[in-house]
Amino acid sequence: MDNHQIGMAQLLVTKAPGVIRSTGLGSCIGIILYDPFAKVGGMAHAMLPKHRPGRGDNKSKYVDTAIDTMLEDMEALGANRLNIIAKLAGGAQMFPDSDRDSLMVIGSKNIAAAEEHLSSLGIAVVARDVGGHSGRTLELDCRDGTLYIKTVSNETKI
Amino acid sequence: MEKLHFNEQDLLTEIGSIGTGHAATAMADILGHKITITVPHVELVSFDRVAQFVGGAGRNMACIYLDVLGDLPGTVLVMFNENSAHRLLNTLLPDTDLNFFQLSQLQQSALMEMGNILSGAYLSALADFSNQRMYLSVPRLAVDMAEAMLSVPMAKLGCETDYALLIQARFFEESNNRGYILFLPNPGATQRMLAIFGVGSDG
Repeated sequence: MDNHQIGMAQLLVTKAPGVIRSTGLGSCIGIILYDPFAKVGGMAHAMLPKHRPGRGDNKSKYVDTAIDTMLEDMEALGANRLNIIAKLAGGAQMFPDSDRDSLMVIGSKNIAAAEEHLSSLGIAVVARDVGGHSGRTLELDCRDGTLYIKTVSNETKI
Repeated sequence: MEKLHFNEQDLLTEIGSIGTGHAATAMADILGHKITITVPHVELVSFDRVAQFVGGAGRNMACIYLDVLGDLPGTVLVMFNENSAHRLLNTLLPDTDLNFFQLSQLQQSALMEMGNILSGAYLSALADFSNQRMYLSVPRLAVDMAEAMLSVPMAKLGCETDYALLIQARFFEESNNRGYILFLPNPGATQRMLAIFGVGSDG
């Protein structure tokens, strides 16, 4: 099996039968893109909503630039942008409280940024498991686009 | 800044040692027995590597998060693995039932207070040593996978840079009882610390 692991502020695209895994997404958002015809999939483990110049060069760190980079990489593997669908998982609030502290609600900002950027590109978000207060481990099976999600107390797939 | 010079590494290790030494003493006082603490590990790491320094991304931990405010801002994390959290809570609150993922209000408060005391001892030593003002926010607690909790301080650093300066020390009573104290200064605070002690940096 063709297994890949990505960490915080990283992204990866691959073809079937590849599997992409990322462990313990908290406030970060997992953005999954998949072309069901070409069976090309991608996953980004993004930390922050929007790219701002001069604050580091890592494109995988930001929701918007991670999506753009994944799309290009997937097209290079034979995916067609018109067929690509998206799934979102993550964006939790890990530490309680404080509506005053914008850092503690970074998760919901990441979710909103992903929805907005995907919508502006015309990419449909077909499934989501977002928000809440638990970390999530994600596994994307590029054979059929299923996303398996585990928390410390629960398992699901979307 | 993508790499630390030797003299920068030495200074930050020394700073970490002073802090962790005081934190270990505070912990030993509370628990009434000896605590072993490692020499701090100081490294500038990319965000995907940070979890390696607390036992791995998927490791379940109790994490106490505190913002450091004042002249040398950053974040302090005090993290306990399940064994050490159990051990700690059994000492502080004997004869109470314990479910790591569903701690009672009292157990949560005890862990947060422990985090508060350890990071308070750590930072007041550092503040005295550097003659800088440092304050701590109220502690916040989460019990989850290490990587998930690290995402919060990493997002804070990620607004400015692609790397985290990690000053990590591990403390333990027995080999399977692991705790960690991490000081993550903001990039500006790192530069300021280096400047205060006259350790040259080209930024």
